[in-house]
Amino acid sequence: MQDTRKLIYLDNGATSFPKPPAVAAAMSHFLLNVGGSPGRSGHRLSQEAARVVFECREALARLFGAPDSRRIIFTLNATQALNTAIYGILKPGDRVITTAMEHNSTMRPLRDLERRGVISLEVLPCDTAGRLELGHLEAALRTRPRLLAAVHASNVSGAILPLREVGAMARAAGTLLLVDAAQSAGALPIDVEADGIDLLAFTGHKALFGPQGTGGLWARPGVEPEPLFRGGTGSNSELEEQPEFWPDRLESGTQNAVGLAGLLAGVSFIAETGLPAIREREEALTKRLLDGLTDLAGVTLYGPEHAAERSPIVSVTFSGLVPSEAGFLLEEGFGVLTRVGLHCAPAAHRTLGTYPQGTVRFAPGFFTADAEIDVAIEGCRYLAAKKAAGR
Amino acid sequence: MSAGPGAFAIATFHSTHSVLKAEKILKEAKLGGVRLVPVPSQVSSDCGVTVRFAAAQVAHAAELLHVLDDDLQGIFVESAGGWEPYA
Repeated sequence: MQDTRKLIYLDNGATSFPKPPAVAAAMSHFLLNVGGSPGRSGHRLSQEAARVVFECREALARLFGAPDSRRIIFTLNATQALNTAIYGILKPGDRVITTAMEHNSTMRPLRDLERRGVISLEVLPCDTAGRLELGHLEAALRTRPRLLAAVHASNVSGAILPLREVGAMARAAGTLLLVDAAQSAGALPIDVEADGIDLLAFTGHKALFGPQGTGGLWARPGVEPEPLFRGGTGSNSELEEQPEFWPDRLESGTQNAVGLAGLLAGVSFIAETGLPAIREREEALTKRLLDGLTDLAGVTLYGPEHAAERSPIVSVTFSGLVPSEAGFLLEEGFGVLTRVGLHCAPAAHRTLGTYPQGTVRFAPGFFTADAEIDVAIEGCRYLAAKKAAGR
Repeated sequence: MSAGPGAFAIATFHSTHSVLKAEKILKEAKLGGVRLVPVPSQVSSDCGVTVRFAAAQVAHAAELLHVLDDDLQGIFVESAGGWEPYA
């Protein structure tokens, strides 16, 4: 295995790395000393495991301004949360609107329901930076669709949805708002009440600093998705029907308590550090990267002009060099790890004009050093110059 | 486990989540004897846990746990014959 100290990890948009040290410590502690099944047996190790799950739910509720943590259910990732929301809420005849920047974790379930004739779907256009055009949204909301599914921060261009404004518009139209917060939960402020969100899907392994296999869905009281899965919940065991109460209604089977121990440590790190401080640091890194790449001949930048308008993501293409080759050369020559291609978001790449080859995506994280950004910029300069020289 | 008939009361809930929330609420209010214990079989066939506290403070506890009413199955006070529902 390669020495990871020599690598520059700029793929935090896929999974954040490294994590705060407390995350691995909490998971190790759980595996070594707790180990029980959460919410099943009555003994102390089971209780301790249940407490970890409970505290993680409470910590996330505080982070998202959710008054009742029971309304947060845990899933494997944002994809499972989005599927739970979409398949659990939509009924035959529903009209749904979404944006042209969605990830396939939203787009594929919606397209599936559309193809099977369950829903009708309208995809709202975004500008070439990936920003939703609010005039189109306003017009679409006039028809009072049942659901608006929108990504908070694009995983391709970093463009940020004006959540509070969009939430107020959806609320006024009586349209449910489902927010895909895969990139933004932990990175950008989210307040489910003030932002007018009805369903919030998030993942644990990106900006919340948790491990892979953690994520969840928050739903406003009265918004009651049908479960994707039914099974044992450790509650109402005498009944052969799924319980209606939360969170058990949507959490069948043994939960990923060791993962949630890590996620709890990640969310606690955010609470201790302060989300504004994390945002400030990530915005500074994004600005450094944008400043270094702007006006670089042979490099095209995508997304909003200013770092303040983006999540910490910068997508680029190199003239005369396909993204896969550029990514390979950045790793081989500079140890810079990026993500290339379509990023599971073909709609977004069509919007940006980068379909079908995609882009090279740089995604710094809170633990990225300025010097690492400088190496990435140097790498881009080298690739651009090399191509210009025809080598 | 108990200090004799009538020493403890329990509050049972549908979900483990609410049991833990109740434990947190009662501990924060500094009630006596707060502890998670297995649900007594006389009260419920569930395999889970319930929160126990001092029976002397049952009225205060009932008031504090009002916020979890929609998940509350019942409050029971220990008696010689088992567990009596708290009215």
